[in-house]
Amino acid sequence: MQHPYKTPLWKIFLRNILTSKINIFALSIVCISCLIALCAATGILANQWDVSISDSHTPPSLQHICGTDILGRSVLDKLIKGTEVAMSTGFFVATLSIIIGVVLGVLAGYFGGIVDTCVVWLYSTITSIPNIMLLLSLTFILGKGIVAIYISLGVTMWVGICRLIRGEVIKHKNREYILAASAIGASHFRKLWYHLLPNIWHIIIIQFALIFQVAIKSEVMLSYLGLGIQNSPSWGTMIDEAKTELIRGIWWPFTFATLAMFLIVLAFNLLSDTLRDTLDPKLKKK
Amino acid sequence: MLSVKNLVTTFQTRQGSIKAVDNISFDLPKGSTLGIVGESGSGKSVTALSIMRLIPKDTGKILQGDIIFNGQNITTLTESGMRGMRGNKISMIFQEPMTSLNPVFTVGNQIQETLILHQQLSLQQAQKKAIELLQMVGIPSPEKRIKDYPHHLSGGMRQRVMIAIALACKPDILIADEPTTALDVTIQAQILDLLKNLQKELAMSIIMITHDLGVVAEFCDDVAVMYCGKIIEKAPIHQIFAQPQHPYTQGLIKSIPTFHPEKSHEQRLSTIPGTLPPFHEIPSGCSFQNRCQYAQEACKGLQGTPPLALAAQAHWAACFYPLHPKTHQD
Repeated sequence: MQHPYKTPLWKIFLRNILTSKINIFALSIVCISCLIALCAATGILANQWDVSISDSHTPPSLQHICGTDILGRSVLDKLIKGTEVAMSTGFFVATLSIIIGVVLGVLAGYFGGIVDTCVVWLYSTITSIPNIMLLLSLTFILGKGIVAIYISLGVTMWVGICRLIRGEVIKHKNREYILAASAIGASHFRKLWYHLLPNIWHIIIIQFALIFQVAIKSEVMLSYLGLGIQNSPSWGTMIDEAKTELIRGIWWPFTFATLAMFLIVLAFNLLSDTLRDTLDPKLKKK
Repeated sequence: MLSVKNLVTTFQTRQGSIKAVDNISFDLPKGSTLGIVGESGSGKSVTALSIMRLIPKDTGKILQGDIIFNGQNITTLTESGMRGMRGNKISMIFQEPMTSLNPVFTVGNQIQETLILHQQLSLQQAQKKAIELLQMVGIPSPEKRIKDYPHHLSGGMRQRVMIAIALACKPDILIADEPTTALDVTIQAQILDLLKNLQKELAMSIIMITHDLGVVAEFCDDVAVMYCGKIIEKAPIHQIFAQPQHPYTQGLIKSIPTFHPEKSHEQRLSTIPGTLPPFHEIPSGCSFQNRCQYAQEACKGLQGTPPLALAAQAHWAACFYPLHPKTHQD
């Protein structure tokens, strides 16, 4: 007999996704974006985005679905190239901030004392600086470019997850199963890695999806402020250029860049919702 | 086997340092069972955690005393040496079987962990052994149950799993910290029977920590009664029930409900008046003086704390006026 609780989690997740149309939509947006980003990164798609294909500012037509920009370059190709930037930013920033946040949070929560004091001091200091100022100064220090964006966003966005993980570790480390693990002779590392961390994985996964889309938005914002990447199109720079274009009735670069960002952020929010419903049983209402 | 000598465990609190375990000594011969009884907060669990060296480091520490296990002083052992001891030579089971198992791993996984940790078994060997262990603690169809998560099991089943984990490496000493408190009465009896049988099978010693004198009567060879961190009475099981020496022990025994149908409606259950004093307000002299109906001037501190002295044969009590002194009579 199949035990009702023995369905693997990924199956429950897939079922949660497939039973609602909006989730299918979200998952396909994320998958397609990943695919587009990969193709753009390997040069299969949009490798000639910087070639002029038509007159300056051609409106969208059947030939050029999204129109062209001031230099006659295809807006569609720029969007695709921008997807690559957005997805890689999301991925690297989420990975970096999760690593920093989880390591510091776990150490602070588990060991307490001086370690905890140091970590709490560090994140209190970082949160007390207005986020945008911190980002601006970091990008000034690191110079312009995509790597600088990864790093400056990564080292500012770990604070939330660190605080979350720290609290969760403090909650779990006093649970009796950790004491029971000590009683069978488990070391600190073993207790942390094998006993405690699996109990908070769900938070890490959900946070990953959330940070992913926040990072995309932040990259757009930085590019809009002129601190983003320079030699490659990004949604932020496209929106930035629209400042002068919109007044002349050139709506297409702006609209498509915003639409792309809207879709991806929405999709990630929906997905992280579904992830939370699947992974965090306490919130399950069904 | 195990002998605890003058153990003092202190905790730092806002009111200063308190002695949660105050100068206790006892011996645990091989294959015997010692019951430690007392109210909540009397230092029973701290005694157990001291022997395991699991006192929370940030607030508590073993101030003095020796814990000699097989000729080796545990208090001076290194942390890694102690890790090799825990779960291997000395095991412990806890009060709450509902939360003592890690919710995200199968029970098989958790039993195997001890084996892999201490006996360097391969995964297949450990799995086979885990099934045997579950069989030993009386869980039906163990080859299926090892794939269950803790939430699939009832409280009694989980406590059986905890026992299986504790006994995986055939320890010399099992410390059972209120193992039946969270269970139904019928399950309690089953678990106690199981522990008794396993004790015979594996020839291990058990320290049974409980506040249930019924459990002690059924299970233990010797009893130590704790009050405010001190052992106030220590005797073989039949003597303590027949002739308690300390008024506190007498009070505990009297407060066990008895069944006399003809009298039950006219008799109230006797209780010990008052409550356990907070640790920083323990009076000088006998710590039980304020609740004791026999207290006299000598108990109030002029003659110091009553020492744990021989009141009858093999019967120790920390009282200036033991209730049934045998030594004076003969």
